[in-house]
Amino acid sequence: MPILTANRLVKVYGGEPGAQVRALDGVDFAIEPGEFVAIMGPSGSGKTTLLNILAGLDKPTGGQLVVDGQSVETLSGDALALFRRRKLGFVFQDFNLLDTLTLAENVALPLTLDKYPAREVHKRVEDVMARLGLQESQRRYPYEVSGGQQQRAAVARAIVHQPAIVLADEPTGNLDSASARTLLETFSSLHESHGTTLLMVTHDALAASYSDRVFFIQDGKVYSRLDRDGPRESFFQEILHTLSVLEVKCHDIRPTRP
Amino acid sequence: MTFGQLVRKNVVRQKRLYIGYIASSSVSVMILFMFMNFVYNPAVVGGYMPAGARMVMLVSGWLVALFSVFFIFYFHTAMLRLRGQEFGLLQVLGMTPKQMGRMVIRESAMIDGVALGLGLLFGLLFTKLFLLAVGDLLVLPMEIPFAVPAKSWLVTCIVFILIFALEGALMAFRIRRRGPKHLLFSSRSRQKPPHPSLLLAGLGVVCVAVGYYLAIAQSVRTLETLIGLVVIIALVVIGTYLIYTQVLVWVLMRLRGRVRTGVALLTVSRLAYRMKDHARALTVIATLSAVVMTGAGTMLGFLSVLKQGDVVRQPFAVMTWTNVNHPLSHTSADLAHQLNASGAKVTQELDATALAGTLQKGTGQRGVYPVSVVSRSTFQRFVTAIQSAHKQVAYMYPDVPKLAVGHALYVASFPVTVPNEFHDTQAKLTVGRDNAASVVVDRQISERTFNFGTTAISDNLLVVSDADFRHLKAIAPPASIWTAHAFTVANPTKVPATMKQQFPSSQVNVAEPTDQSLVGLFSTMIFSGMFISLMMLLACGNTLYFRLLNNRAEDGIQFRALRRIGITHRELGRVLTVEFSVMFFFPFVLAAMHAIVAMIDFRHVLALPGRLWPVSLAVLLAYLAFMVIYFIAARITYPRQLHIDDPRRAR
Repeated sequence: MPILTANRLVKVYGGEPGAQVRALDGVDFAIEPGEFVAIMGPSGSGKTTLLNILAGLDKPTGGQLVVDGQSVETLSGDALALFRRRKLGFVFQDFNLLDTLTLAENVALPLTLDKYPAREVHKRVEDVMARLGLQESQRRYPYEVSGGQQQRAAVARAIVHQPAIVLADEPTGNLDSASARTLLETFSSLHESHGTTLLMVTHDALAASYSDRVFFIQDGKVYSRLDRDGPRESFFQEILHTLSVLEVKCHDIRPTRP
Repeated sequence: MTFGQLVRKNVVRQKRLYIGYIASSSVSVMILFMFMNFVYNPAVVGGYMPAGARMVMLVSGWLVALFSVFFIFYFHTAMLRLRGQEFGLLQVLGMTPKQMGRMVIRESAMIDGVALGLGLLFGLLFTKLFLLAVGDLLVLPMEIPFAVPAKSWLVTCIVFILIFALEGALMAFRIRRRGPKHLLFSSRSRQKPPHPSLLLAGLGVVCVAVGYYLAIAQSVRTLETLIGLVVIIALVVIGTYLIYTQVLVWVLMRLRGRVRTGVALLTVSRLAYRMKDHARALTVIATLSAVVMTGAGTMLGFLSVLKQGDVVRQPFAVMTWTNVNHPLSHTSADLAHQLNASGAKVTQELDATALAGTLQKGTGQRGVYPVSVVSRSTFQRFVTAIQSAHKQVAYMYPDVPKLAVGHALYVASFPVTVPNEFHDTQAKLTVGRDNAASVVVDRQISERTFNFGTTAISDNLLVVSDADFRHLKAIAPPASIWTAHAFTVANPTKVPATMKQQFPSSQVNVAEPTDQSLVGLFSTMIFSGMFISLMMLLACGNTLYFRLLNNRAEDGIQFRALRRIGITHRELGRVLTVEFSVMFFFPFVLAAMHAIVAMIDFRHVLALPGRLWPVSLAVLLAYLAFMVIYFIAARITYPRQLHIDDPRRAR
């Protein structure tokens, strides 16, 4: 049974008929447990809107979204917040760590908010930070460590409560190439050895090549889909190829995000 | 878009930022304008006013102007700091420092113009009401006619235009001197985990403690010189600042290691982080609040003491003294008859025998005290009579203890600045010419049981045991034996005015209430003080408002991030409630402590009998009520301004 099912998701912005923008125009896809999926698309294709809806930050105008057996569009307000807290993990482009908390405290936040016993919080935080190579920096503050370490702390925070799925929004966007590579390898290893389900939105073909499957979206629709069945390098080539086809089609050279 | 349009848009589109500033400035303009309308009112200048009232209002007006200078500078600086990023960006885009200066000047001209206009308008609207209230307080026979003299327009406008111009020029100068990097990154470059120093924390507590000690224990001595006062204030202000930056942060950091829930962790860490930024503002608030509360508390308290003082100065409605050489033309029965006939209605009638004498402490001229000697039982009769006639001051008249033979009590009947001279003091008592006897004066008490103002016999009493008194009276020459008659009445206002004239003034005292014009003048002072307090309250509110604005952008980002992780509104609300409580009520607690100490000090200096506390505490409570209202308003509106759930403001 899929862990996330998007069924004909539609999102329309603007009230008046003439000024309406269809940011999502019937998006369908499903993610199975343990999958690592990437979503690619040029800017303006609806990536961010899709992610906001998947994260329960925005409401779809139409369609259904089911995450871990729960249909998200029926939830609202605090119920939605609690749903995110327990079922989802987030990794942002700009890390979004709280400056007032140490890395360990940042990682512990989802658990402490849910009032886990102190000993368990401590154990889980130790575990997950060790797994991500952050033992040394536990007591450091976010601005005292490198961007790569900040992002790994953010990943630790996203998985510490063992969510059903981890959503990553351009996680490598603010990192140098070495840190980006380390992060992507971290994702792969989480996916391979711990069976973590990951959904990553990116415009970087290299980042996407670490996943099992790539959905390309364009004009608010899933335009095509690419499954990996070989080494990463050839998958990378395939992604580049698909992108070039997309570019020719829409004259959008190398989509970038601010 | 022209330069002028840019300036206008800057102001109009940031009205949130400017509204507090405009409110504060225009209230100051309004208050000064109203005060000046009183001062230059033709009826006041020409007129039938107690001369002091005009002076009080004039001085209050200057206080308003002086205070406005400070807070206008302070708030404008704070506002420009909030816009640092914007200025930095403009500089990066190529705006020259000169243009920036011009922009700031033109912006301030615009806002200050609005403030001045609004202030004058509201001043105009409220002047009539103000004049009515002042006239009422001064118990004037007729209303003060409404007038808005040219002179008051002129003074108000000149004062504020000067302040605004100076202030605009200074701000422009300061903004020109800052580089774009400083402006752009000033909020980001100062990120360090808080490290409170235990040493400084200790120093802060010591500063406040020493300040308090000087104020309470060394009260009169410290205040003899102005330096003493300045030292106390400096110590307390420095101590307050250190309490915020060090003590509070230290406590928060300790707490942080212990908290277990996410909400508590968030709250404590945010507070610890921000306390250093808040400290200056919170110190200003605590100091201002202490000033307001002390000022209002002492003034109102003083007024109530002044009113209570009537009884304490003249406990009996009528009191006469007589002896063989100084007979009175009317008997006491006569007096009682007159009082009853006029409707004053005698409730108690007492008499007493007192011996004129002197008390010699040690040797030499300095140790000689003229006293009136009374027996303990007589004195207690008077005390009992006062206790039953004036319940509200009964606490000031405790029963006197029984005295052993050869022992006495010295009663300093004018408690103002009478030093305490007697505790188990050996002294020589002389009654008449030279019948010296040795007594031990156990202690000195301060209360007035015989009316003030008769010069026939000494004001200060020596209470001796009944046995001693019988013996002294037996050996005293007849000329030194005096008899007193005292009456308490039900309606003090009905005592006939002619009563006093029937006797020599040295032998009679008729109680009169405190001069009404004095109370009226004092009420005017309090009334104008109220406006200054209002200004200061607004300034406190404004300071807090700026702190909140300062945090808003950052909180928006932080709370949206937290919301993604899945924090509920209730949890965020709890974080804010605790944080706001600390910001709003911690300064109040400190200020209340400072104010209470200041009032204790004032109590010592005042040295008048009477209760100051009920009124002073009422002032504290009123202040607290204001803070509670402001807290609730901020707590409700703040989260809405963060746009926590707006997906388009993802970051």
